[in-house]
Amino acid sequence: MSINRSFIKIIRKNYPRVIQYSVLIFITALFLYPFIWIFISSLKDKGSILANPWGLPVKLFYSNYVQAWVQGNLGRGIFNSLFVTCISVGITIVVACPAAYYFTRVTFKGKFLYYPILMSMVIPTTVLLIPLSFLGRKLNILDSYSGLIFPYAALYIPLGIFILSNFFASLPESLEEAAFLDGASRFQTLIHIILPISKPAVFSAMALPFIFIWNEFTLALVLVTDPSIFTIPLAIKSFAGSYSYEYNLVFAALGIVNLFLFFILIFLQRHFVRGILSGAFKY
Amino acid sequence: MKDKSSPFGKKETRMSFLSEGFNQFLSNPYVGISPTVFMFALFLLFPVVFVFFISVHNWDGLGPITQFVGLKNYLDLFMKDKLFKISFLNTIILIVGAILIQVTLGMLLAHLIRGVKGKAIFRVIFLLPLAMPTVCAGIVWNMIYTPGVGLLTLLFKKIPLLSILGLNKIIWLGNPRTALFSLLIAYSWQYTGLYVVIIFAALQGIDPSFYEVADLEGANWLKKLIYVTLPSIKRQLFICFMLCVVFTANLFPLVYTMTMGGPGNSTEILGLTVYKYGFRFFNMGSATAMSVILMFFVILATTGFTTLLKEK
Repeated sequence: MSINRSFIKIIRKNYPRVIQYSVLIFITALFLYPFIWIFISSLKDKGSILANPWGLPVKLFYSNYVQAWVQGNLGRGIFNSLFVTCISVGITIVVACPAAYYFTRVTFKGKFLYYPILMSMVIPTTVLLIPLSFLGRKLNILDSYSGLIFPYAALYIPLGIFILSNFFASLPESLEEAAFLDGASRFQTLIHIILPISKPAVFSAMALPFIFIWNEFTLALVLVTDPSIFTIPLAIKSFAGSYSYEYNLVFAALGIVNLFLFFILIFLQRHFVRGILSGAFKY
Repeated sequence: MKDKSSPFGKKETRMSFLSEGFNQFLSNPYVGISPTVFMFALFLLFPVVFVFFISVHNWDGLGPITQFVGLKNYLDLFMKDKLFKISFLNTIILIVGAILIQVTLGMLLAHLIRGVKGKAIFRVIFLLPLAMPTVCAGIVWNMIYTPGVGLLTLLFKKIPLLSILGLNKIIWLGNPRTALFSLLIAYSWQYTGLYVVIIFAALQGIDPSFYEVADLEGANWLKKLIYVTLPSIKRQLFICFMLCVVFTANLFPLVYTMTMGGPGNSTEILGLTVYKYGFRFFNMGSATAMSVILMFFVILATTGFTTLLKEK
């Protein structure tokens, strides 16, 4: 009785807190549930997914994962995605660093290009579908890795420039002046002075495009038809299309992709958030 | 002896692999921006010009581009094309819905996680759906909405009140009345986290003394929200609205995996219609005309929000 009463007292005293926590945990559960559902269902067989969608699996079917991995050719998809994403992010950062530096720190006539380049961030990808498939055919890069890598890099260079130039613009000028007095050229200053202290910005300028390119579907759908260079979104889509009633396999395939995603996010999460915020706060 | 204050001393040039001339060459700003300009011109500027060019021609996507038709493609879209009207309207509905649901929910959640322990964990949880490939989100939500298998119909069956109202019988994605709304829910699940993160950071930046003053004046929570919170995070809110426009214009993968524009034309959006006209019907003229309109719409909306933002 007394325990009960003191418990009520605590609740009464902290009721805004209690409400806050319970609402928050409820909404968080709603957000998380699809993920939990994927992992639970991926370990069931088809029958128990239909019969008992809420419960935990009675018997674990690890074989779903093996089957999905093999039949969906997911290994190939993950390799392709990693390859394409890493190289395009590499190109993005190498190209964007000097551009962001010269656009923000040097006065020259080419500066008028800065705003058109940043504006191109808002162009919807679907607008680029027809021209890029035409261009890919003319350059003969359709259905190849470079046919994905170059458009992706070009698409995310403006974002990289945006994040980096926000950071570069906030650096004090005295930093460079000291280097110039020592006889360093602009390029050397960028490499030895600016970049080492801009590591956080460089990482966010890589993390954001990494996630976006990893998930990109629209362009890949049109630029790639050969299953051997399907990236993960394409591989999943075609797998789910041909096995649409094998729920257990589809869930297992989604589970594999999500496991990979969690793995990547563990490393990128901090930079990802910082990238979003640097975009949102220094516009 | 290495002089630490001067990494560019004559003897200890770390960039010795670059000759003096090459160094000077790279230090020219025009050289520095040239790769960017090249990529921009080839993969972004050329497509935009190309879209404009094709939109005044008739083209099937493969043969030579010969027939100049002027503004006929645009006029056809506005006068005759039903699909265009529906998809334009749906795009606007989705943008408004995204702003209402996602930004409001984002604000609510940002407020909720403010005083809570383990903020970082909550923030990551809300960002998880955003980092998931949109295609996967589409497949999952398709299953959630599937009658018999999906969680939603089963959930509604278990709650008596809802089954009396008949909510358990709705085939969410199969009914033209509910399909767009169901799509919006899936879309919001994916993107709300973005706004939580942005608004949460904006709230952290508000000077607490504003709230102290408001408390002294005896303001209730609604007044605090209207007179303190909203004006202080105005900039970030406008950025959120802008992002809503941009992401809705890019919603193609979700609609492609979930409904393909159906049932009927009830979930047709501009991006999907462009794709269908271009790669199903091979009517590049109309597809590019629509692309131009979509592009103008997005650029107008985003510049509108930026000018509002800079006015202050």
